[in-house]
Amino acid sequence: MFRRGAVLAVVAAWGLSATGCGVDEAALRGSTDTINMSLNTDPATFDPALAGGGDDFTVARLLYDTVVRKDSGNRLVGGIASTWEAEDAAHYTFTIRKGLTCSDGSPITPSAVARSLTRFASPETGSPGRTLALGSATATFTADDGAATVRARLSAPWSDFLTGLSLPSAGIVCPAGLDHAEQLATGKVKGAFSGPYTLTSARPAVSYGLTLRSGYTAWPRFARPLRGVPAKHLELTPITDYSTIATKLVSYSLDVGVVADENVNRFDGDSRFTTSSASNTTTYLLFNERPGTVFANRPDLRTAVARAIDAQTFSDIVSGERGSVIRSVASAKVPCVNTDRSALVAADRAAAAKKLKGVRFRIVGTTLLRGGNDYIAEALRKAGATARADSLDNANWATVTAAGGKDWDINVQGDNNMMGTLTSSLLRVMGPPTEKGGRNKTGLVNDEGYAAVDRAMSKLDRTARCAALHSAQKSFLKRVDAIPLSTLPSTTVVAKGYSIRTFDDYLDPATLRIDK
Amino acid sequence: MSPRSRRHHGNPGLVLGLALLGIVVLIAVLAPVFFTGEADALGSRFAQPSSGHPLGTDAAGHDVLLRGLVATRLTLVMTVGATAIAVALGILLGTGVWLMGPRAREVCLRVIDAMVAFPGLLLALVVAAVLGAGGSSVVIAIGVAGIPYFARLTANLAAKVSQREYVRTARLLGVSHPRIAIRHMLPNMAEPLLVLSASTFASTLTALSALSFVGIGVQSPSYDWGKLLSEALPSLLAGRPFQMVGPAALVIVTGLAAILIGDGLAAAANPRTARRAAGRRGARDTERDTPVPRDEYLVDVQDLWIHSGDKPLVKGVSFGIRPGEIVGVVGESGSGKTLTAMSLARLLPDGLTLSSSRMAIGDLDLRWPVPPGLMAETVSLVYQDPGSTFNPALALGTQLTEVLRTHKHIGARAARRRMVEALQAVHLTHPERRMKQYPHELSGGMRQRAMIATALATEPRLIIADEPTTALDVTVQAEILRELERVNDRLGTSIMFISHDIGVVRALCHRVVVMYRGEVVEEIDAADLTVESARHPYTRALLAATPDIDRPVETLPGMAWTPEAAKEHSHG
Amino acid sequence: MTSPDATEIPGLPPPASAGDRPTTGPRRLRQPSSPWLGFALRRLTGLVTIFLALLVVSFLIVQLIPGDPAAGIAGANADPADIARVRHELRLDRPVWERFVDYVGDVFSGHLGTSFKYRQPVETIIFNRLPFTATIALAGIVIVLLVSIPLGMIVGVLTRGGRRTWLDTTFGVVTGFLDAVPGYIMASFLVVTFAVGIGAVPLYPPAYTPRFAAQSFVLPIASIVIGPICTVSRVVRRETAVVLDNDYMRTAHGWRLPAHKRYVKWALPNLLTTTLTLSGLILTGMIGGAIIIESVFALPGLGSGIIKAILDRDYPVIQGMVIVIGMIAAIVNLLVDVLLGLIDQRTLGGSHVSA
Repeated sequence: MFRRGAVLAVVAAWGLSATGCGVDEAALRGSTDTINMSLNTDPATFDPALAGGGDDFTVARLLYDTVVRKDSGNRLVGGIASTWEAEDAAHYTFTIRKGLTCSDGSPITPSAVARSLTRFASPETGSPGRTLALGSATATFTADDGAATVRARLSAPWSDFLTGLSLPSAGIVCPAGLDHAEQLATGKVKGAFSGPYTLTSARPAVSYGLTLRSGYTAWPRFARPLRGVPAKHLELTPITDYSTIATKLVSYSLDVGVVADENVNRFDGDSRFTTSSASNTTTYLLFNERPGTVFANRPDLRTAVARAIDAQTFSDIVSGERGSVIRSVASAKVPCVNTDRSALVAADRAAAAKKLKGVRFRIVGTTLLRGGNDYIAEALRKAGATARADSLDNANWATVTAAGGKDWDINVQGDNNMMGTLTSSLLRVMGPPTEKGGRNKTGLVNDEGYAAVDRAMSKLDRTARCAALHSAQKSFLKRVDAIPLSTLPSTTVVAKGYSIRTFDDYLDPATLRIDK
Repeated sequence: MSPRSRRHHGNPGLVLGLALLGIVVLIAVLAPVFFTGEADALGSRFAQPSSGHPLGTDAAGHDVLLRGLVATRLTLVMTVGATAIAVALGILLGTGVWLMGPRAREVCLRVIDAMVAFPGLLLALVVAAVLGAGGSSVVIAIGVAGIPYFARLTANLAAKVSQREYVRTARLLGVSHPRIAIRHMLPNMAEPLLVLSASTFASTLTALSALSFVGIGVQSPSYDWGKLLSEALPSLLAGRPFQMVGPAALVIVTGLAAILIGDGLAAAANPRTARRAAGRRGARDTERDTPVPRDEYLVDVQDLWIHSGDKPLVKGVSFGIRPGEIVGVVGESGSGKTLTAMSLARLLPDGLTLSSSRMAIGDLDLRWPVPPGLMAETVSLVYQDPGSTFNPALALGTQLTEVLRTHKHIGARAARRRMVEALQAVHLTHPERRMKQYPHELSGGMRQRAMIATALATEPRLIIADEPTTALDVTVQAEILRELERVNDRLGTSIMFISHDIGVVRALCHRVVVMYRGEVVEEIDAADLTVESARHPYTRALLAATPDIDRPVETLPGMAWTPEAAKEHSHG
Repeated sequence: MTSPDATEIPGLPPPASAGDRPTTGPRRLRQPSSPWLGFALRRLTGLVTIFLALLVVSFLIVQLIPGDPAAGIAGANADPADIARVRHELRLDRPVWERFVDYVGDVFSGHLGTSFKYRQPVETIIFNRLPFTATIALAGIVIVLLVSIPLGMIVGVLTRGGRRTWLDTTFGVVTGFLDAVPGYIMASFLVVTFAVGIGAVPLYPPAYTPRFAAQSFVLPIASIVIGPICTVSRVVRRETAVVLDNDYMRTAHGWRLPAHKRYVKWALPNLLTTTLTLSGLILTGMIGGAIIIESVFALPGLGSGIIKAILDRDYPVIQGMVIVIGMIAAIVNLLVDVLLGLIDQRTLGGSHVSA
């Protein structure tokens, strides 16, 4: 009898000590040299070259610097390179800043930069950023340590090359990291980092601690300089649920958070926070046009689908009335994007119903866009089609759509275009298909459109490039290979006393500052 | 009205549960018929509640209230489906296990035990992940996850039922196993299984909505409450809380209904908890003419009435017990003898009212509140021993010393010493060891000796022994009776000895009170207890019904010789 | 007579223990230490069996989950060559049996494998998450027992023998109501009340925050205990009614023991058997229920971990978590049986199905 009592008492005391009492409002904002920030989920890797997007990009940006950086107005600014020069769309020379060091104190030499970029560009590395930076070209990098330059030669012109090198994927990995490349993913190679922060603690799912390097001097010189001081310590916590992120922000347990649904409304008019929105994610419908599928060689059917759905409704559902309708595959801030409404198919439910009656097809999309997927199916059912929408988790969705396949007819594509280059999104709907190593999910090259993209990528001149990109867009819009839907803005909420900079649609986590 | 329906009628929780479930079922039947079209129509989006849309509309423009109502059918169908899987396969497994050989059964029970311990929701999650998102896969997942628990509980019930006489008989008669299960075991487990099904229904409902919350439940265009809830949750804090109200209320009401029905059925199935108070125990002792105290009696009871509601159970009983006297009270069960004794001990069960013109032990008037300590020093009880008079969870010593510590205010060690002596006094072997043992480790005779020792601990003036030997072997019976007689000899304690065995009474008692249907029909000296001298026909009938009546009397006090007893003796 | 083995009558109570030969004497004549020895042997074998079963089943079941881990990890931009490379890296291009042999080898040398997604040892990932789930589950079960036993007993005593029908009904409806609220709705309600900062109620973090680590657990624990408190207190209340009706309670009354002794010392120990058995189930249920609660409160525990691992098709992590959670459940089950054995040695023999 008494033994049992004692056991209970001990367990009880332990349990109660774990609970404690309410949060004291006075102690709400903790120490001033630490910033608590949310991640959407755990970074999949700390190897910048393998970074796939989202949170991988966030940590890669903080841990690794790139040769060039994105600034506002779709311009680039120096990073590890102080200046750069493009002879044509296939030949580039970078002058490397002097006196930069890695996290182990070793200098960042042009050879080290060339070595890291060579790894990034190598198909064996399998960097998802490679096709964005190089298209289907290959690149060779040669360093001249005396002249402090790195020369890049591409096998085919690719005018997005410079912007591509501003991707976090192209982050420069120091020699210590390249020597242990297989361990880069865990973030445990101490001397690998070239960026402002080093990874000091990594507890998957719990939190990631990043610490500012004392000797770091490579801050980029943005057109409008940053104010405040960088945080000595960053605590990154993975939280998937937007509602929870918002609640954590208002209850002072988070300083910076990214919210992308209705919960943004909770910060409207709240003077304790500043918000900035970025629309680097867009949504559009993609048709599977591989031979033997419902929509292959049926522009009339694809047009009918476009007539049956309302992009505004889709936008409101997926973004909580905060997104905006788009007229191409990228958001309106991306250079050369089509804004001409007349290039799109106009809504016409009656005409749609005539074509779609009795047609049977399968819509797939990710769970993130579940409400939108359901809406598309519902709208098409109302137009008489037999449509089924499957909201799949990322792994299932990737399995079904990535390597081609005929198990789907319409894909609700969420496209994260971090760097804001139109080409990267256009290659989803034209060019080499996924089963041939490309990005195109429709399975149909669209020679006319792809030729226009190729033309654009060989031009350094902005006007000529835009003209070519416009005809590429006209091409897929006319063929209705894809139906533009809307942006999916993500809003960064920053508590008073902190700031962060968004360049066009790119939120740069390395610009986090504490107001002085 | 049958007893069961009366019990159900008297259970407000059950009535409420059935009413709520009725409403929900009605919605499930009617709402899809009338509202499916309207619930699918797309109106204005993100609308706040208005007369057109009492709970507003969702992001796509559906009416939130109508969707909640229409979803009722699918939700109920899924919940019933998953529950049915758990119940049917659980019962199959649980009864099947009891029809196996002992070794296979032991292994199977272990496996089931291990599976019960594994978190059900986790199992369901993994199963649902394998089957892919969708209504039928979550139904299977939740159903499968519920099987082990149901199988385990069915096995428990089957374990009890299979011990019953009719199942063993059927088995010996060669009735086939499935037939035994269907004909004999299942009907006898039906009621508890029904109760369990109700609570399984409630937990299935929450589990299904939990899987929908994770996003692997019903997929569009179908929708159940779980899906509606998971769609509504993100907007809860974003200024549109109303979207959650409908499905949340429905899921809670349905769960509540199932829980109330489960509890109600359980209460009804358990006659002890279902027993209703027939009336309040009140001081209904009407002031009557105070009768003259009869000084020669230690116990003086005059005109005692005990009622259950309006039904008299004891009708104006009067009797007395002299100091040092052993008085037997005989009568068949229901004659009121135990009630009379319990009212004397102030231990009348709940719901009975009593009145008397006089009820006293010595100068203690029992019609008025008596302090427990005083009561303990006045009356002690020795019960019939069906093995349950001692607390199975406490060592004997803990229980026995409690009386001394409470009423004599002595320390644990002293109480222990006194109790060991007391046990020795009643001839209990190895008293030290017995004190450390648990009641189930002692035989009935040992327990009864211990009970007598405790009864003596407070040095009472009266011991009420309520059929103290009925449950014991005949040899042990004799020893216990001898013990009581010794107590009476040695300490002069009065004993009220209740029994239906007139032979035993005649051997032990000085005087006998015969009760019949709540009345005292005869008071007679034990010596006169023969068919010839008894006056009342009932007494004579009782005597005539006792086989040993004309035998030469005991060689042992209290030991009535019977052929059975003789046989027992030769064995022992 | 169809029984193939006439001496073996199905349906008789199970033998006292698995290795027992039929004994002639009553149990109490045997050595007092033997039930514990047999119990330990039997349960150890059981634990080993459960472990092996979990090992095999968890490995096989993850293979059945649709979706290619390599495609998921390679990401949206991957081409078939990338996917093939990832598949090779993860050794998924090798036959199932070969991977199983490797996995078993790993496990028996003390490793649960390497996470596909995090490229870290699975045990590191699990032990990062375990403390969170353990904290809410253990603190939860303690609170459940501390609240529901007294509550159930008080109501049971007050309503014994049909007294206070109104209290009985109110108690049933209120606990039934709270019990019927799904965990995440309760959690959302608590967040609305305590985390958003309405009115004068104290503020608690709605999600795990390193800065307020201890307070972060208040709301999750609160939302995980309310349902079980209702369940357990209803059971305790029903059991109390049964226990109070027992003869030994009448005995205690007959000995004129004061009320507190009768209820606490006499009745309570008899409630514990049922309550403890139930608590074991509830504790493991809480580990499962944490799946939902952890998602709502962004607590990085095992529950949200397994959801994430399934979404990532992180086979080694799913397997590791299923094994660890399964073993925790088995050990909790065992501890409950040990406690029951301490209370009443009779329960040590055989399976406690007769409880």
